[in-house]
Amino acid sequence: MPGKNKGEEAFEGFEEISIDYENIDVADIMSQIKRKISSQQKSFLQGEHLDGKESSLYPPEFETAVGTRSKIKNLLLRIMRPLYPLIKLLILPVYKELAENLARTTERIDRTTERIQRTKEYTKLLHSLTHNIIVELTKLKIEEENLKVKTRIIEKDLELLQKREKALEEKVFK
Amino acid sequence: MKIAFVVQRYGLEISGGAELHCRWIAEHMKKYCDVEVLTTRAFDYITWKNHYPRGKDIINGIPVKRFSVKRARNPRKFGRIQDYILKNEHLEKDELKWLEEEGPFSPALLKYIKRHEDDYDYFIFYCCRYYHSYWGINTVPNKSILVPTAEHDPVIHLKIFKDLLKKPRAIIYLTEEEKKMINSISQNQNILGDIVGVGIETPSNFSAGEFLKRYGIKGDYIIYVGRIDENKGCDKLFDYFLRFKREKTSDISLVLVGSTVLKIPSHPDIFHLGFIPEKEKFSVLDSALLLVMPSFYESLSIVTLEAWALGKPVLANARCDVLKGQCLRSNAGLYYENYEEFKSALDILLSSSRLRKTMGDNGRRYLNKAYTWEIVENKFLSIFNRLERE
Repeated sequence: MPGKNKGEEAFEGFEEISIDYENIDVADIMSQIKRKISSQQKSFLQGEHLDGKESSLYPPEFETAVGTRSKIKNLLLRIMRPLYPLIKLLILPVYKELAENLARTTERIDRTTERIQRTKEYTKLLHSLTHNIIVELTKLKIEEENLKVKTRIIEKDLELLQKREKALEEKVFK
Repeated sequence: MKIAFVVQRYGLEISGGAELHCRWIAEHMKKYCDVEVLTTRAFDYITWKNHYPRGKDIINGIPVKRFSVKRARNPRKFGRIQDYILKNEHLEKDELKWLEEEGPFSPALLKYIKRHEDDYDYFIFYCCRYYHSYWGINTVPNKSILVPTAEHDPVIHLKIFKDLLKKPRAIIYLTEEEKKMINSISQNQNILGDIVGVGIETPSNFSAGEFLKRYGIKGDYIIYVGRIDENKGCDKLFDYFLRFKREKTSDISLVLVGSTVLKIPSHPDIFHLGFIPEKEKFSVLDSALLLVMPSFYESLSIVTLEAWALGKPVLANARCDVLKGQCLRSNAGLYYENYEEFKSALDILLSSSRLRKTMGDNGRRYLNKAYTWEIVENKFLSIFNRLERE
């Protein structure tokens, strides 16, 4: 494999995954595996699963039959030739459509899961926010009560001072 | 110095991760201090029904005091309460009701802790999610050390745990991921803590030949060791393994070791050995090509460490942060999030004996760096010293 270092090895069926045995890095191997899987999935969705061959107009079983050059088969094939496009229409698009549907559904599931996850996080935040607000409000309420009590005490002190003042005045001016 | 380990269950036949960790640590710490275990009479972790006799017992030289479980757990009622608190806005008292139902509900154990607080220097509580830890730490906060063994379980986010995780004098974490999760949940970075883990020792002289013949296991196999349970991701493992066999036409077998609560698919290449003695477990593990760990929730997978001790690579579930983190740090295992990744990772591991060997060697090195008993004991002693200085 070009560009490979000493101690590196690629695997049969996993040519794109190379491992440096002198210094094994699990994170690197896993990212190579993930890359390989995503590229496989992409090519599967794009129809490259047919090994890059241009798909023939005829289904494989018909081609094999042509190869045998059997007269009866040839005759049958000739009879059925007008139906080939219809057969292809029935097989390939259905398959492709299924694959696309699957991809779309997977995408939708991913999006929904993400949305649910986000909502969950928001709910948690909201819960914690509400909790904090309640705590703060409770503290404020207690503070308010304290202040009210203090005001009442000051008022009483003031009243007492006024009474004292009057009494003193009366004594002075007598 | 006198230390009490407070744990939900204790016994040689109990193989649960936290309980095993507690027993190993207690047995190793008895060299340095007086160690005692305070536990319940339960054996079954689903109902906590009293099983062991009440009173004192000695297990591997450690005095064990067992207290009765006053009320066994009703799994259906517990499930209903848990469902309610996880899906609805609720009050703290609902969480406490859930905790009581979860159990093991043993007021006698808590009464003993309260009465004998002065007899012990420290109480080491195991598993933050259980009744005995919550009320135990609240009873003796100044003498408590917590080993949370917390997993990415939704209940860990309950308010009662957020507060609880700020109360002990020290916290002993099993992995970096656990520490990170707990710190982010309760903002308790100021509490003394260390990542301790566990020491791994492998028995000498084991051979799987005879044993495998008895079960009719021929050829290469991968192995899963642990409880065979949906919570451990085993249903997914069966599904993935059978799909892999179909698609790859591989002749690899899957060997399962451990008790089961799940129906195992009937397939000629799936072997269930049940619960087997330690030595036999190491034998089958040593003959396997790799260990597969499909679990979603793990606070420290001891069997993963044991596989690395034997030089076996691991294929782990990436949805479990702890397993993924350990694979990344050790470079001794691959991980998967879905079937495609499982297929590719397993295929790569099976197709290269060199990769398996190199990863196995990495696992051994990783283990020797952090998971030896000397390191674990020193970490515990250093925590005690720091607490004494405080």
